[in-house]
Amino acid sequence: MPKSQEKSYEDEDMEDLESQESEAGQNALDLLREDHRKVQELFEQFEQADTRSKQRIVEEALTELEIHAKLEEGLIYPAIREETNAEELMDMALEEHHVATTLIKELKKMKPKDERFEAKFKVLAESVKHHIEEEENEIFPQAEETDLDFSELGMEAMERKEKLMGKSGKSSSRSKKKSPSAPGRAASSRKRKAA
Amino acid sequence: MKQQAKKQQANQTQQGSSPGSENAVELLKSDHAKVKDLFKQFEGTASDKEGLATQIFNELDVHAMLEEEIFYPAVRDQIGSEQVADVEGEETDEGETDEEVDDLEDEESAEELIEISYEEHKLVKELISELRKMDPKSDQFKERFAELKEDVLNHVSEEEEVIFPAAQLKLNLQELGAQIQKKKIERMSAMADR
Repeated sequence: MPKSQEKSYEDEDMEDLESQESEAGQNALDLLREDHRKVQELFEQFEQADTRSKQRIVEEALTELEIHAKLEEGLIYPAIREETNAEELMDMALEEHHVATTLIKELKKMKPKDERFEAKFKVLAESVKHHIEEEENEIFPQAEETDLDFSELGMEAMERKEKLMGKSGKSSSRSKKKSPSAPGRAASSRKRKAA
Repeated sequence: MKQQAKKQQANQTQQGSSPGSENAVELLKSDHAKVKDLFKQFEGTASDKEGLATQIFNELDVHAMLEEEIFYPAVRDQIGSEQVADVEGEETDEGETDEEVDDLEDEESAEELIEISYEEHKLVKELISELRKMDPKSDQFKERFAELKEDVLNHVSEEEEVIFPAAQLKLNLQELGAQIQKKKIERMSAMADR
């Protein structure tokens, strides 16, 4: 699977993305895609890492996955489900979350030196990778066909993410990305139009 | 259940192995084929889906036990740290190249693959345990059952495409097969006597 997924922006002011972020909100699906890349990177790092690094990588991956899953289940999936006919797809996605959650719970009780710690993490990794592919290749494209305002969803997702990261004791790396907004810039310029 | 075991033994004999010495890989593959067929029946117009599901769970339980107690230890102990043969681009029975299989085989030794297999079994057992408690007519049962099927098929592909070929090169499959067959009959009898 390629490391960097191509973004399917149709918006022409893509270069101004950074400065627009704080006012209009980043596209929620792009936020999720970034999370995916981050977690995939952690999975790859795990393969090459020494024991001590493995512990750190797993902790980080599990935290990222838990927060990401909560965002999807609490905010993104319900929005997509309401606007699409993809009931079965969404149900399957939830089942895949259930598998990941089960494995995460078990991994949290273990230490890297435990006999099957690595093997269990690898099973989680394979499951998550497969889930990411289904989301990005099947769910997200369907979602993008709808009238959903992903900028607004993105803003709400960011707020929830900050809260969740605060709860998990993790400092937010995203808040640094926000730059001063240009006064009077219309948020509607980033609204997705229905296909 | 006893009848099934006898039938299987007869089939094995017909497949060309000498009486009383079944090839372990052929036995396990035969189990895989049986479960795949049961999954297909489940998706068809079968009327007793609940019964089919229970049969699938029981088959998987027994099969997993045989692999964990006999086959996996043999692979781990006798092939262990060796890198396993590359079988890139091979299609699964479902007609698609399994990328996840390719990912694993590039990096894992036989021992690591076996460890992963044990963990995959655990996950499947967890799903079965949950499914046994659910209402078979519910939507959630349907979805979780679909997840189970996907996980099982993925696991089967990994075994048949990577682990079995390695086992065929290195292990005494007749001896292992005899052990597996014996244990299977014991287990089936125990289940029938309940």
